[in-house]
Amino acid sequence: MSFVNYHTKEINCKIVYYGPGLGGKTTNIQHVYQRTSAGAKGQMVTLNTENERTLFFDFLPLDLGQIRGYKTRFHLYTVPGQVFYEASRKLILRGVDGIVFVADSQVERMEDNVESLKGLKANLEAQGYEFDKVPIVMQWNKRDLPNTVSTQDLDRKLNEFDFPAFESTATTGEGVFETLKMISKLVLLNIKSGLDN
Amino acid sequence: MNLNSLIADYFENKCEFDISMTTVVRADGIVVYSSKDLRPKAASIGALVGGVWQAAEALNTHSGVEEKVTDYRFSFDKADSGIYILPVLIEGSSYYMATLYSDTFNPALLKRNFRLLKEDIETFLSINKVTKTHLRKEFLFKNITDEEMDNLFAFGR
Repeated sequence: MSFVNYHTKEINCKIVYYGPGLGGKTTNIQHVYQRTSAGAKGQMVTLNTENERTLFFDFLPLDLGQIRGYKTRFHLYTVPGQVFYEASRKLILRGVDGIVFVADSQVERMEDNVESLKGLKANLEAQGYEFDKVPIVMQWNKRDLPNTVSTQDLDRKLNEFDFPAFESTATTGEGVFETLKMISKLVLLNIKSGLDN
Repeated sequence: MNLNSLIADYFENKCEFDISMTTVVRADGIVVYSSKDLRPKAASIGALVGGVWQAAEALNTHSGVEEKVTDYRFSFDKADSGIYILPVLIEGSSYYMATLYSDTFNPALLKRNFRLLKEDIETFLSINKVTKTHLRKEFLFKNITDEEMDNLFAFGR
C-alpha cells in the first residue's frame, strides 16, 4: 500500500509490471532507467537466471519531482513471467499500488496473455484486492512485429474493464513513458489511506 | 514524532551500538532508516531486504514449522562477512532490521550486538510512542492536471 508521510510530505508508491514471460516487462524498466537522469533514479536491481530471464524481480527506484509540495518516489518492480514462478509473483504483488499489464501482441502469445491475466486477477483477489478497483494500465507491446493481433482484439480479449491501454515497442521506448505516466497518475489519484502524523 | 523521525532520533542521538551499514525497512521494502554509508543505494537495498525476507518466509512454510516469524533471524554469511536480518514488530506492523558486514573478526559478537540493538530499539519505541495516527479517508488529490504530470516526468534526459 502506498506510504504517505504527511509530516515530511513524502509519497512512496509501488508499481508492478506484470505479464507473460518474454513480453517486455524488464525491457520497459530498462528503458526508463536508461532515459532517466542520474539524480532521479537509484540503483537498478536485477535478479536474473543465467540466461537473463527474470528470476525473482527487477527493481528501479525513481525519485520524481514534487506535486503540490509532496515529494514522490515510485518503486518499479517486474515479476518473473515464466509460469513456474507463481510463488514469486504473489510475493511481489504484496502492497502493490498500481499495475502495468504488459501483453505480448503476437498472435501466438494470446493464450499466454490470457493465462497471465487470469493469474494476476487470482493473485490480487487472494490478497484482498478487488481487481477492477486497482489502478491498472494495459500495454500492448511489440507492436513493431509483423504478426500482431489488432488492438481491438487485444482490448476485447484482455481488457474487460476498459483500463487505459497503450501501444508500445519497449525495445525502442515507444509507449514506455506514456504508460508509466498514466499508471503514475492513476496511482496518485487513488491515494487516500495514509497515516497523518 | 512519527515513526521515521523517532527511529532517526534513536539512531542519531540515543543509540550506543555500532550502526554502520544498517537499515530498517518496512515489510514492503520501503526504507524507514538507513545509515549514512548505505544511503546512496538505500532504496535498492530496502527492496532486496524485503524481498529476501519474504522469500525466506515463504520457503519456510514448506518445512511445516508454524512458529511466529518474529522469532526468526536471517543469516547469509561466511566466516568474516555477510548479511544479518532481524524482524521488528512496531505498533503491530512488521519491519526488518538489516546489517551488512565484511572483514569482521567476530561475526557472532556482531550478531549478538545486533540482537541487543533490536531489543534496545523496541524498548525505546515502547517508551517513546509514535504520535497517535489516524487513517485518512479522503483522496489526497482530487485531480491532477496533465501539466503537473509532465512536471513530475521532467526527469527524462
